[in-house]
Amino acid sequence: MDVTSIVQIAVSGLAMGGIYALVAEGFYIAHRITNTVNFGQGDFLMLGCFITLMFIHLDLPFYLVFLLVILGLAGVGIIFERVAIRPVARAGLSFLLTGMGFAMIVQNSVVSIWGNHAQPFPSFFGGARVKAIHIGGVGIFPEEIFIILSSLAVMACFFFLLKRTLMGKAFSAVAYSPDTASILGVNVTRIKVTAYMIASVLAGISGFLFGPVTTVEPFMGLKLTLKGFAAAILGGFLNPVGIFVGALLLGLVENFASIVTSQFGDMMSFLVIILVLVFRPSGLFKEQEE
Amino acid sequence: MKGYFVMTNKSTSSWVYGLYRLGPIILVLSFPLFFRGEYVLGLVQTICYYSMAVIGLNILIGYTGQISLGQSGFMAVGAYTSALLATKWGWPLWVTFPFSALTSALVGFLIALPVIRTRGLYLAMMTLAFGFVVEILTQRWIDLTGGTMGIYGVPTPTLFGREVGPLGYFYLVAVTWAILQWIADNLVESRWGKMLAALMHSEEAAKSVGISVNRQKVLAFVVSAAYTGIAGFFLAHQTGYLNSDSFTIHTSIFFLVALLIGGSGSRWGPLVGATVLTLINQVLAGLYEYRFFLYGGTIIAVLVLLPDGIMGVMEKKIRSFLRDRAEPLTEGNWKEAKDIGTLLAIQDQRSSDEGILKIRKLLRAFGGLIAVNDVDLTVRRGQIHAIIGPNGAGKSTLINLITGNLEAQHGSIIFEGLQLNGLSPDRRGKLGIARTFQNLQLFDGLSVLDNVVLGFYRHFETGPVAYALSLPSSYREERDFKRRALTLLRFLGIDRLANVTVNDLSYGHQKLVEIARALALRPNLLLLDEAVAGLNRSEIKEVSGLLEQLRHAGMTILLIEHNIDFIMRASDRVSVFNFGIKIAEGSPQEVQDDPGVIEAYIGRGDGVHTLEKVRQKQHRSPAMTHSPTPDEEKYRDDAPLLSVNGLSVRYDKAEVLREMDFEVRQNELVCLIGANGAGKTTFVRAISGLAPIVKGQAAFEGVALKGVEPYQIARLGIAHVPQGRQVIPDLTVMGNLELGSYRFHGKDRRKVSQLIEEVFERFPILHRRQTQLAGSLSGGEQQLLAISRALMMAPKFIMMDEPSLGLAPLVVEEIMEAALGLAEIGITVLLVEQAATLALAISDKAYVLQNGEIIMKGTGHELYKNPDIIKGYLGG
Repeated sequence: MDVTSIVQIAVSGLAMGGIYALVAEGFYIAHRITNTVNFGQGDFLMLGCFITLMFIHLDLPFYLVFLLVILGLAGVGIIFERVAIRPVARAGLSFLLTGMGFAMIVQNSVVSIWGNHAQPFPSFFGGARVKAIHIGGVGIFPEEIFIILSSLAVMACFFFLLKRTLMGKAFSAVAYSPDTASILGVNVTRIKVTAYMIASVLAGISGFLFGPVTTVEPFMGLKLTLKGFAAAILGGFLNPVGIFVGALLLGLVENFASIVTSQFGDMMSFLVIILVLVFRPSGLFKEQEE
Repeated sequence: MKGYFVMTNKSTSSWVYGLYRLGPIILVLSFPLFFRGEYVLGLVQTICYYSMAVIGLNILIGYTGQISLGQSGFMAVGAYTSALLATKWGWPLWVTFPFSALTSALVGFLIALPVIRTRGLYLAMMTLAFGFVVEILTQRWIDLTGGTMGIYGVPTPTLFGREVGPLGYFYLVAVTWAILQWIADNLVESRWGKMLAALMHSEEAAKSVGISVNRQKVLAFVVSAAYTGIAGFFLAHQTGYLNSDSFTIHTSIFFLVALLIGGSGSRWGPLVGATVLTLINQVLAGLYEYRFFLYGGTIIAVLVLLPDGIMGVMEKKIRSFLRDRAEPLTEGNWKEAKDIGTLLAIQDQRSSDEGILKIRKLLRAFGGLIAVNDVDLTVRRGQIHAIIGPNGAGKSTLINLITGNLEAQHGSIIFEGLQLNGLSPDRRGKLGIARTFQNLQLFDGLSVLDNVVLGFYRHFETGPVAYALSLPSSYREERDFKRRALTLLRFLGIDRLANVTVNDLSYGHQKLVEIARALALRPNLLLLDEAVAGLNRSEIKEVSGLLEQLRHAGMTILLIEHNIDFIMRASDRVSVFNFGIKIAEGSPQEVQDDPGVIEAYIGRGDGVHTLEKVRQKQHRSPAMTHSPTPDEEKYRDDAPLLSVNGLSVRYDKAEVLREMDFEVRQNELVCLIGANGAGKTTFVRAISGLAPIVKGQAAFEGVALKGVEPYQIARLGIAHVPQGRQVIPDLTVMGNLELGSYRFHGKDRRKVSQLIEEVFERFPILHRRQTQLAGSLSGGEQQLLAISRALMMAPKFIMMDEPSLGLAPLVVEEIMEAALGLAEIGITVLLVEQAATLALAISDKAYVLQNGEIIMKGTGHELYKNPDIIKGYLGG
C-alpha cells in the first residue's frame, strides 16, 4: 500500500466517521436526558437523505434545502418523542422496540412516496455524479472533505450548545436529576422533547451530508443505526468528546480493514468493539459522570 | 410474582393451576388431532422452535435483567454445528443434537465471560457485535457454511431407518419444546430463579448473602444459549436445506419483539409472543405495500397499551388467584424451636475472649477526602460492638470495607484469623459475614418469605440438576428452609406478612425483613448499618428485644447507629468516630462521660448561644426588615403566605402524610422537625409539586398548588433547597447559579447579574470558587451553593430540606446563620430539620412531625424548652 492510497483511505474513513459521529451524538443527547435512545436514528438519517433529494429536485438553493431538512427532522423528532418514547418511558427496554417500530413506519412511508429502490444523488458541487479531484496524486472526493469539515462545524455548535448556553446547563440539570431541574423552574418535558429534536436534527444533517457518497435507499438505516450506536459505545456513552473520537476511529478501522480483508472487512470493526469492551467495559474514554 | 405455592384440595384452584401449568402444552400437542394440513402444522412447529429461543431470551431478560441482541448468533451455532456434523461427517442426529446444544452453551459461556462485565447499552452492544460477527461468518465463510447459497441435503431425522415425516417432525419439535418449557418453569420457580430475581433487583444485596452474582449471570447466558442453539437444531433439520438468511440481526430482533409483546418475565409470554408475531408475519406477507406500517404500528401499539406484554397482566391475576387459595405454609418441626439461638443454631461465641474481627491501620480515601483514616478496631466474640459518630464520620465506609463492597487502600482486615483483603463481597458473605444496608436493599418483587429464604443461600446443598428437574430432594430442602424462614419471621413478629411482596411493606417492616435475611445466613458476624433509623418507638423496642435475644445466644454484632439511647442500652462496647478517625472507645458509660466525645458528637450548646445572639440582634434592627413592595401589599400581613389544609400524600400504598394542617406567614422563619422517615421531605416535595397531593389542599398566596407542575410552582416564587443539596456536579458554581435564575434568562439579563452580585456579596466563598466544578466543593460549600442557587430565583418563599445533613457543627452554624440572614431580607423561610436543636433555637414557629402527622406546634422557643421533645422525641 503506498502513501497516496493510505491518504485516500484515511480521508474516506474520516468522512464515514464524521457521519457516524453525528448519528452517535444523537444517541448521546437522547440517552443523557431521557435514558432512552432512538433505535431508528439511522432511518432518520435515511429520511434526511430523501428530504434533501426531494428539495434538490425542486431546484431550491443549497442553504434553503439544508434549513428545510433541519426543520423537517425537528418536526419528526417531536412526533417521535410523543408517540414512541414518552408513553413507554417507564417500561424498561420497550423504547428499543418502539423506536424500531417507528423506523419501520418511516421506511414504509419513504417507500410509498419515493419507491423501493436506490436513488441517484447529485453532487453538491455540480454534476449528476460525485467526481474525484486530484491533489498531488491523491484522488479525493470533495464531498468527503466537505463531510469532514461540516461534521467538525456541527460538533463545534453542538459542544457550544452543551457547554456555553443556558439550555446546555438545563440539559445537565435534567440529566443529573429531573426533580432538581424542575424545582429550579426548568420544564423537564420540554427539555426532553428538545433533546429528541436535536438528536433527529443531527440525523437529518448527517443524511444531508451523506447522500452524495452513498447508495440512497429506504432500508439503509439499520446499518447506520448500529454503526452509530457502536461509535457511541466505543467512545463511552456519556462522553460527547469521546464519542466523536470513537466515531472517527470506527470509520478509519472499518475502511482500513476492508482493504486488508475484503471478505471480512466489516466484521473487523465489530471485533474491535468486542475487544475494546473486553478491556474497557465502559468504552475507550472515561464516562464524564457516574 | 414468582411465588411458590402449595396446592389445596379445593377443586377450582387446582383446576386453574393445572390449566395454567399444562393447558398450553396440551393445546399444542393435541393440535394435529384437529388440523392435519402440512402448512398449519409447519406453522405451529415454527412457533414451537421460535418459542424455545424466546424462552431462552426470557431467562436472560425477564429473570436476570440482562439484554441480548445477539441471540441469532447462538441459533446459528446450534444450527450449523448439527448440520455440518451430519452432512460432512455423517453423524446421526441423536448424537448431533446434544452436540449442538453443548456447543451453543459453550459459545454462550465464552461470550458471557466478557459480556457480564458490561452493563445496559454496553451489554446490548456486546451481544449485538457478537451476533454480527456470527452473521458475517455464516454469510461469507462460504467454504464452511455455503453462505447465502446454503447447504443442501441436511438430513432429516429418522426412526427405525425411516424418515419421521412432517407429523413425526412436528411431534419431535413440540415435545422438545414442552420439555424445555417445563425445565425452564422449574428453574425459574426454584431457588435459582429467585437468585436471579434477587441479583436483578439488587446485586449488592445478592452478594451480601453469598450469591456469586457473576457466576449466576454466566449460567443464565449458558442456559439461554443452549435453548437458542436447540431452536437452531430444529430449524436446520426441518427442510433439508439451510442457509445464512435465518441468522441475521432481524432474527435477534424478532425474538426480542416476541418476548416483549408476549410479556417478559412471564411463563407463557414466549409462546404467546412467538405465536402472535409469526401469525402477523404470515398475514402481512400478503399486504406487501403496507407491511411495515402495520408491523411497526402493532409493535408500538402493543408496547404502549400493554407495557407488561400480553401475558404479563394476565399471569399476575392468575398467580394472585392461586396464591389466595394456596394452603398456608406451616413451620413443621421448627415450631418447637424455643428461640432464635436454637433455630439458627448460633454458636455461643462468648467462650473465647479473642477478637473475631481485627482491623489494623485501615485506610480509605475518596479523592481528597479520607473517609477512614488509619483505623484500628477489634471486635470481640459474642459482643455487641457499636460504632457511633456524626454524619460523615466514616462509619458506613468502614462497614463497606469489612464486607468488601469497598477495597481498602491500606491496612488489613482479619476475620476468624483469615485475611479478608481482596476477597469479593459474596466470598465474605459465604464466610459468614452478614449485613444490612443503610438504605434498604431488599429483593423487590419477591415475597417476605422468599427474601428470607434467599438469606439461607449459603446453607443450600442440592445442585442445579435437582432443581431443573424438580426432584424431591430439592423440594424437600426448599420446604425445610421455608419453614425455618417462617419461624424466624415469627420470632421477629412478622410471620403474618410472609406472603406479602416486600415493596408493599411499611419502612419499619422492611427493615425487619432485612435483618431477618441477614440472620438467615446464620452469620458469625452481623453488621447492622443504622438498624433503627427511621423506626418508631415501638419498632425500636422490637429491635432492641431482638438484639437482646441475639446477645443471649452469643452472636457477635457490629452496629452503626445514630440513636444514642438505643446504643447505650444495647451495646457492650462503643467506638466513637469523627472525620474518619477513631477518637474514643470503651463501655457505653465511659464513652458517654468522655468530654471529647460530647464535644464532637453531642455538644452543640455553643452554637445555640451564638445563633440566639444573632437573632436577637436582628430583631433589634427593624430598619433591615422587609418592607413590602406594592405588588405584595395585596396580601395583607395577616393572610398566610402558604396555607395547607388536610393535606394527605401517598406513595404506592403507604400514606406518608395524613390530614396535615400547616401555615406559614409572610416573613416568618418556620421550622418543621421530625425523625428520619417522619414525612418531612415528602411534605416539602408535595408543596413543590414533586409528590402528588391526594387529599386536601395547599395554596401559596391564594393560588392552589394541587396538580400544578413543579416548574410552574417554582415560577410562582417558591424555592426549594433539596435534601442532599443536589448541586449539579458537572457544572461550575457559576453554571449552577445561572440555572437558578432559569426563569429570568433571556428576558432580564440585568436582574440576573444583579442577583449574582448579591449572592457573591452574601457568600464570598462562592465568588472565589465561581469557576470550580460544583462536584469538587466541600459539603458545606455545596450547601451554600444550593441555597444561593435558590436565591437566584428571587423567591418569596424558600424551603430548605435538612441543610445541616452531614456537615460539621461549625459549618451547620454557618448555614443556620445564612437561613437567619434570609429572614432578615424579607424572604420567608421554611426550615426542615432532623437535628432539631439549632433549628428550634432560630425559628419563630415550629411544627413537629411524627409518622406523617403533626403532633406538636408552637413557637420555636417554647418547643426548644419543652423537655418532652428532647426526651421523648429527639432521643439523647
